[in-house]
Parts: sequence; C-alpha cells; structure tokens
Amino acid sequence: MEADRHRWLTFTGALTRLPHLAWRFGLPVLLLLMGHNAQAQQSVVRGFVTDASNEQPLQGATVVLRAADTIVSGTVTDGDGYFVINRIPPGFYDLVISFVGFAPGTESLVLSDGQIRDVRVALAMQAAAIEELVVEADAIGGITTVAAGLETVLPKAINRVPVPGVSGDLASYLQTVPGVTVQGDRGGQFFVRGGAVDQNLALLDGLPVYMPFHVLSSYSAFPEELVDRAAFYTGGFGARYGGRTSSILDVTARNGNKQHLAGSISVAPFLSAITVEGPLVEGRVSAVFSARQSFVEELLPNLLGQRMPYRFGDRFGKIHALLGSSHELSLTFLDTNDRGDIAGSKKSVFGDAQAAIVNDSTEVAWTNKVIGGTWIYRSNRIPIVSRLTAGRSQMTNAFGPNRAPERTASVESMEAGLRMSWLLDKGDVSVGSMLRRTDLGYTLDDLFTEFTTSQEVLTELHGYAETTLDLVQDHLTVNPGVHVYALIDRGQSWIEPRMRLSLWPTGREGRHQLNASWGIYHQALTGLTDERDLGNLFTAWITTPEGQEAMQSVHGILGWNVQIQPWLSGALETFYKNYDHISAPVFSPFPRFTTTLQEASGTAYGADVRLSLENRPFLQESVLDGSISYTWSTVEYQAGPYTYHPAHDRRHQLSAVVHAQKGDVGMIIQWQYGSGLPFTESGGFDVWYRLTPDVDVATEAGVDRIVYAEPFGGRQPTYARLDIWLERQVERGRYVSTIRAGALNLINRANLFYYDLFTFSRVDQLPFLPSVGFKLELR
Amino acid sequence: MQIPRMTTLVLLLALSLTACDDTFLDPFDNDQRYFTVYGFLDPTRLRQTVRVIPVTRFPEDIQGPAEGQAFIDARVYTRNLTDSTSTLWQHELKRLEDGSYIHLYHADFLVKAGHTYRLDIIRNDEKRASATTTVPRPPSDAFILSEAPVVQEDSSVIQQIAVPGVAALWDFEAIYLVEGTNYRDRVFVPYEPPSGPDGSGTWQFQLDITADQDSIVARARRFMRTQPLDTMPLTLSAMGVQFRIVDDAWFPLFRESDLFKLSQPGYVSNVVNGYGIFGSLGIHREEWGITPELARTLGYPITVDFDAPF
Repeated sequence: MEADRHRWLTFTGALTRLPHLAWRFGLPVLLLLMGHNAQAQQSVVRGFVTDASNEQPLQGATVVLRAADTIVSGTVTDGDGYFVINRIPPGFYDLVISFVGFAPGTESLVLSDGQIRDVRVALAMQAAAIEELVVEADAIGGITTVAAGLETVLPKAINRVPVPGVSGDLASYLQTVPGVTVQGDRGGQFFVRGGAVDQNLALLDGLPVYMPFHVLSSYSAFPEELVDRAAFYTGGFGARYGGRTSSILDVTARNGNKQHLAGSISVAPFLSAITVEGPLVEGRVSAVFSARQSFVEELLPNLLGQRMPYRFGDRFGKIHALLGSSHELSLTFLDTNDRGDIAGSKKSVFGDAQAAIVNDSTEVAWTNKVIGGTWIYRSNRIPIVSRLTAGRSQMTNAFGPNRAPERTASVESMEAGLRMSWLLDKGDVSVGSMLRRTDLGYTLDDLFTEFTTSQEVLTELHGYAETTLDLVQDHLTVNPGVHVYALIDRGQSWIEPRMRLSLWPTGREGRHQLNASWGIYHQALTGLTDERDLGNLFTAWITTPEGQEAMQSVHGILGWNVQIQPWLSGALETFYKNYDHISAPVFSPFPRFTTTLQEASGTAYGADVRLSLENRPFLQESVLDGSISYTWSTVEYQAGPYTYHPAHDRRHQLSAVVHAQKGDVGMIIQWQYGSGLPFTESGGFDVWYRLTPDVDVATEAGVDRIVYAEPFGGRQPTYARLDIWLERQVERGRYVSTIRAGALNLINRANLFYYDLFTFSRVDQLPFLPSVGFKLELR
Repeated sequence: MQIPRMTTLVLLLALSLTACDDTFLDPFDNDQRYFTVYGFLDPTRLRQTVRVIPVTRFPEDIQGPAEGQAFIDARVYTRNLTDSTSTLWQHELKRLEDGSYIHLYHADFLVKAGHTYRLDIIRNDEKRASATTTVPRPPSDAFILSEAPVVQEDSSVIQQIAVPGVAALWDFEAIYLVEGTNYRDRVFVPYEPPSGPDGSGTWQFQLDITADQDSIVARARRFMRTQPLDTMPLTLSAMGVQFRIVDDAWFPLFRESDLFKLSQPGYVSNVVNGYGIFGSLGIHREEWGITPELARTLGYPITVDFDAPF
C-alpha cells in the first residue's frame, strides 16, 4: 500500500508540475520546431478539402504547393479534411489538390511576408470516376501511415459487404476483417485478435458506445449512410486511446450536406431506414438525422419455418457548424434499442419438449444512449488544432422475460477530453487528456442465483503525448507516444509506452511497405459474461476487484504490404498479444451466472494474409473487385489449474468477398469459413451435497450440478456461409434508386450458434434466408 | 478470362469445403464416470443409506414413479474387506417433500469400527463406480484426558477435556445423566470443536458445567412437567463426553470452506469412476459416575421451577 501511495503521490505531483514542465521544456522545443517560421516571417497556407457534392471532408487528399514547375512543399489532409503548409517564402504559387476519384483542384496564391492564407477547396467527382480506394492510409495531422493493425474504412467499402437489406453496415464489414471472430449471427459479440468482447472500445465521434452491435450481428449503430470514416485498430493502437486492451473502433459520423437537402429512404424486412441531411445555414451549418427500425418480427414472424423474434432500431442525429474560419462545433446523438429471443430457433436433439423448457428465459435486451459534442479550434497564429470533446454514454442490458428480467446491468459514463496538436512540416505533436466518470451496476435474480446487486463508480484520468514524424526522406514514419492511465479513486496509475511505424524501403511510390506497432495497455473495467454459455449475451460490468491489478496487455504487430499489380495488392500481418490479470468468472458447476472471479492470463498470436482486387476489368465493360483473406491464430488462457483455449479461439478463418459490376447491375458474393470454436463439453448431471454427518441424504434434495468436462476441451463444428446478392442501381439526376435481392446462407447450412447443455438442444444461426430491399436516394 | 475462372474455382472450392463438413455436435463427453453417490456408514445405526445418482445427459428430475428416470440401472453392494462378507443393498424410489423422487439404497448391517468397506454400484453392462471407506475408531482405550473440575472466581465450574491422537474429529458433546432418570434420557450438550488440534495433536475442550445447567433444566422441565410439585431439586448421577470422527477420505471436505472448490466435481471425492463421497463415522463415548461430593463441587443440586415461563 505504501508503495502504491508513493507511486500515486509521485504521479499526482508530476501532474501538478506539468504546466511548469511544459513551459520550461515544451515551449523551447515548440519554438525550435516552429522557430524558423517565426524568425523569417514566412507564410502559411492552410484550409479544408471537401467533396463538392456534400461538403464532406476528404481525408488523405494530396495537397501540393508549386512554384512554376517546382514542388515547394506538400502534405495530405487529416480526418477533418484539414491541411497546413508552413514556412513558405513570399511569392506566386499554385496550390494543387488531388484525390482519387475526384477532378484535381488548383488555386493560385500570392503570398506576402507573414501571411496566413486560409483556403477552402471543394473537389468535384470525376465523370468517369475510378472506384474509391476502400482501405486507405491513416492520415493523422497531415501524415499518411498505413499502420499495423489499422484499417481505415470508408462507406464504399461498407457497401460492398452485403447484409439483408439495401444499405451496408459497418458490422458486416468488420466480419470480413482478418482476426475478427464473431460468435454467431445473433448478439454482435466481436472478438478481435484474441481479445474478449469487453476489451473492445467503440467510439462514435469520440464518445464510447458500449454495445454498438444489434441483436442480428449483421447490423450495428453504424450504417453506411452515417459513417464518414472509421478507424479500426485490431491491436497496437496509438497513445491517444486508452482504457481498453484489445481493439479500438473509432467511427466519425458524417457532418451532413451543407449545400442542399439530401437523404434516403430504404425498405427491407430486416431493417428499414430514413435518413435526411441538409443545410441549416447554407455552407456553414448542416444536420443529419436518421431513424432505422427492424420489422422482421412483425412482417416475417415465421420465415421459412424459422422464428424471427428480433426487434431492433436506432436513431441518430448530428449537427455540424463552421463558426468562422477557426472554429467548428458538432453535436451528436445516438439512441439504440435491441430485444430478441436468442433461442428463437432452439430445437432439441431429443424433441421439442426439452427445448420448450427454457424457451421463455432466453430473451435479451439492451439499449444505448450517447449524446455529446466536439468543439474544434484552429489557431490563426500558430499551427495548432485543439479539439474538446464532452458527452455522456449509457448502456442498459437485461436478460430474462421482457417485463420482469432476471438480470439487469447498466453502465453510464460522463467524460470530457481535450486534444491539442501542433502541426509540423513533417508531422505533428499532440498532447491530450480525458477525464471519465463511470457508474456501473447490476442486479442478478435468476432462478438459480441468490439475489445479488452491485453499484460502483470508477473515475479514470487519461493523459497522453504522441508525435508523428516523417524521417529519412519520407521513407520512414514513426509515431511514438506515451499514455498515462490513472484511477483517481484508487490511487493507481500506469505509464503505457506506444510505438507505431511504417517503412517504405523504396519510397512511398514503391511496391513495398513494412509496418510495426507495439504498446502496453491497461483496463480497469471488466464485462462479466459466462463464456461457457455460448448464447449468453448478458454482460455485467464491474471494476477490477480490490487488491487485483488492472488487466494488462502487451501488443506487438508486424506487417508487410505489397502492390503486386496495379489492381492487386497483398498484405501479411502477424500479431502477438499477451494478457495478464484478466478477471474471469470461476468455473462454477452450477447452472447460474456467477460474479465470483478468478484471475486469468493469456496469450494470443497469429498471422493473416489478404489479397485485394481493385477495379480489375473483365469480360465486357465489367469491373471486378473484392478480397480474400485467411487468418490463423491461437488464443490460450490460464486460470487456476486450467490451461485452455477460450470460446473465441477460432484457429482458421477464411473470408472472401467478390463484387462484380457491369453497367448498373452488380453482384456480390460473400463466403465465410471458420474452424470450430471451443466449448466446454458436458460430462452429465448429478447432484451436489456438502456431505456432513448431519446431512440426511434420504430427505434432503441436494443441488443440481452439471459435470463440465475439461474447460473448453471440445470444438464446435466448422462454420461456413455463402451469401449472394444482385443489385441494380438507376440514376435519374439527383435521384438514385437501388433494388437489392439475394439470400443469406444460400446452401442452407446448419451453422451452430450455441448448444444448451442443460436441455441438449441446439440453436442454429440463420438458415437460407431470401431478402429483397429497395432504396431511394436524393443525392 | 483468367479472373472469372479463378473466381469460379474459388467458389467451387468454397462450396465443396462447405458441403463436406458435418455440422452435427454431441456435446456429451463422458464414458468414464457412471454414478455419483452420497452417504456414510454409521455405527450407531443398523440401517445404512446412500443416495445414488446416475451421471447422465440430463439432470435428474423425477416427478412420478412411471417416468423413465424413475428406473435406475444400478446394483449396489458392499463388501467388508476385513472379514470378506458382502451385502446387497435394496433400492427405494423415495418421494421428497417437494414431490420429486430420488434413488436411495439401504442395507441393514452392523458397521464395525476399524473395518474397511467397499461400495460397488454396477450397471447391467458391468460398468461400475466404487468407493472404499475404513470406519475410524479411537486409537486407544485411555482416550480422554480429563482434569478435575475447577471452580472459578465467579463460582462457575469448568472442566478441561483433552482428546489426543484424533485427526478427523467432527463433533463433540458433553453428556449429563440426571439422578432418577433413565439412561436413554441423558442430556447431550454440543460443543463447537476448535478449528483444529493444538501443536501436540490434541483437541482441547473446556466444559462449562455451570452454563450447561440451562440445557439440563430445560430438558427436565420438558420431561417432568407432569409431576405434582412446583419445584424440585435435581442433581447428577453421571456425566461424560462423546465425539464422532470421520474417515480420512471424507475429512478433507471439512477443511475447505470455499464452496466453489468444494462443489467442483471430484474435488473431494473417494469415488472411482464417479463422483461424491462414501464415508464412515466412528464414535467414542466415555462416561463417569458423579458422587454427591463431586456433584456439590459441580454446583448441584439445583432447583427446577416448573411454574416459571419457558
């Protein structure tokens, strides 16, 4: 305790000295970095690059400053479409902006001494636009890095992965990412490169969404229409993120069209949606609103003999305002609801009578509410961007009958964070901090469980500093950083070094790119589920038990990207994750949810390879693109006397998506194959007594007990699914109509979702399921 | 044309891989553990009883004697390995208070201290679960080390009792025989054993003879309320102590307080090819007479007021 206290005092002391230290050491460094600029009174050009059709920022656009035929300087836009070029001598220049799929834009500039010139360039899409790059470089502060473990996802990529409906959804896209294991097509439980579900953090405009996936796993709160871009880190994330030990999904929502009214309406049995966006003040303030609702329960309660007891939906809103040349303000709102009977298709291998025993107790429901805002300030004097984010996130989860759930849990957090970035010529330096207070609670009142309730509060302070620098004539990009994570209530803190780097051995235009990332991560929140119950979607959130270290993970990722042909690229990544101090439920032999914990540790490692096809012409006037990926990985935990492979240890995974387009007709074929997930087999049932000489076994009933076999010693059957979709899109001016028809699980394979060991009944994933949807867009 | 061919090839490969796999799953994996048994041999009883639960796919939930689970494929024997005698146990489908039924087996025989018994539960296919217990007995005749009673400053009387040489002591009771009552009407007052023996392996008990008078008076008022007097003097004619010990295989269960550990199948079990506990008890009793002089030292006689409220 004394050592902890000393460590805490040292940490808090350091915090209080931060302003002084920053003034004493940081300012000279900053002045040194910018000194040349200040001394020579040279000029600055900065601004935004947007899509002319809807004023959405274009991330990764190339910005080049030319004087006559000479390139003076260049950079790329960040996630807000923002760029800055410093240290420009006075003179005449051409600013040339280009982005794949858009006609280049040029602006002539006359710069005088010390001038700061703001520009705003809107690029128009080319008439015969080449398809957008769907997995592109990460642009942070003007530096492009294709980083290990990171995929930046654009709406076009989301659209290419089919779901039962017309629009794409980020949830479906993520299922094609190597290293992502999904428990089944219900519940949205994602496991990323060996991490558990509760070790993932999903952010919407910087605010956490605790359970972002819908009850049918193809859907999430992030549909194609609302996503501007998403950064998905399967590990090795940088210093700006903290509090989670497996993955980060950082979604930025669209700001809305600032030029004219736009929107879409789509009708499909699984999910129908309406989206409206447009200017509130033309060119300056925009809004986007969306509402989606499933009607499958009402319209198709028994689709081809399959019960569909699922109801879910979400509402989203965002207002974005440009306030002068330096300020931006956005407000975001999200509300989701899910309810479903996970055992809707339960069938007993010994007859329906057994299945009926538990059918009424497998209903699960959850809601999310997120509200918050971001204020961005770009200084007119120095190249600093400040971003202040504040908001509130809430999640509730219930298990059991709708009106009287047996288990309930909730998480509610409020947070405020500030990030400041100094934009340099060859990179940036960022510092930030975030304070989050989280209220956690659960109540358990199952048939087999003693009434248990818990309420906790956790106050976390995050601080970080990181820089992104281009070195060795732009052959090398390094992104070192450090994250400080402190639990204020407990006086605990950790320093977490992070490093990401990319190397282009033959230059950025070359074919090869090597990536690496490494970091240490801690997490003080644990989402308790019963991993042995594969159908259990109830999560009770708790803090790390007193006296136990917070969960810790060390990540290491190495990757190699190669452009084999202009239309064919390949990627190979290997990863290693080590986990310590995991709070896992004990292996209770009783059929009940338990909050009694045991400490576990584990390792996960593997490799994945992916081939991506881009715009490959074939046949007559047709274009083919898609990807095929294979992942091999292994996850091993140790808890008590057991060493085992947990429920998300999918050893082999293959995924292929092929999209063929000819004219206005497209076809998408998706095939997924995964080796069987581990599960704990049953050794049968018996009864347990704590037998003493005072126990009369002739009159006392004892307690029913399941005799589990070795933890996770069995393997489920393999998983495979083939989906096929046809679509036709017709454009009439600004109106675009799309009809998409197809089927999930074309060969009607009985993929196991979970097996109820208590009734020996199985729940399969969705069978052959035809669907048709229609969407009308106003662009 | 290369690309379509490759795509077709991939699709065909995918379909063939998909189609070849079997999706059947049988999550039951148990071909080594056949029965769970709970019970113990008690030398104080003629009828011995154990509960037997077949370890099967489904939990035992018998709601009527005609249900499938009401029939059990099991024969139960004990064999006394010390004198080589065997006993066949009789099955009973016992109805509990909650209306459900359980499988019990009974056998009538005198359990002998120091003898080793093996319980066999055998299916028709000759698969068997078995457990062995040796009925514990005290190591010597001079077992109790009792000191003279001590009158304390507050006039209360205590007596120190030491029990050496016993590892697995389960319970301990003081015995009082009231003068003029039958031997079978002795008063037993339980004492909570300490957490374990002392450094020399001896269990130490301190009888609070004065406090135990409350139990004796309560018993007297309950059984002698029909006599005509309002009050009556009462004294002791004998006293003693009794304790029970459990066999070595069973005793570790009492040293563990973590219910999750205890409930793990096989954590504390002496059943081969099964789960549960088949134990045995040993009992040791020592009694001694009380002279009138000693009775006075112990605080007797005492007066019982039959009109006082209970």
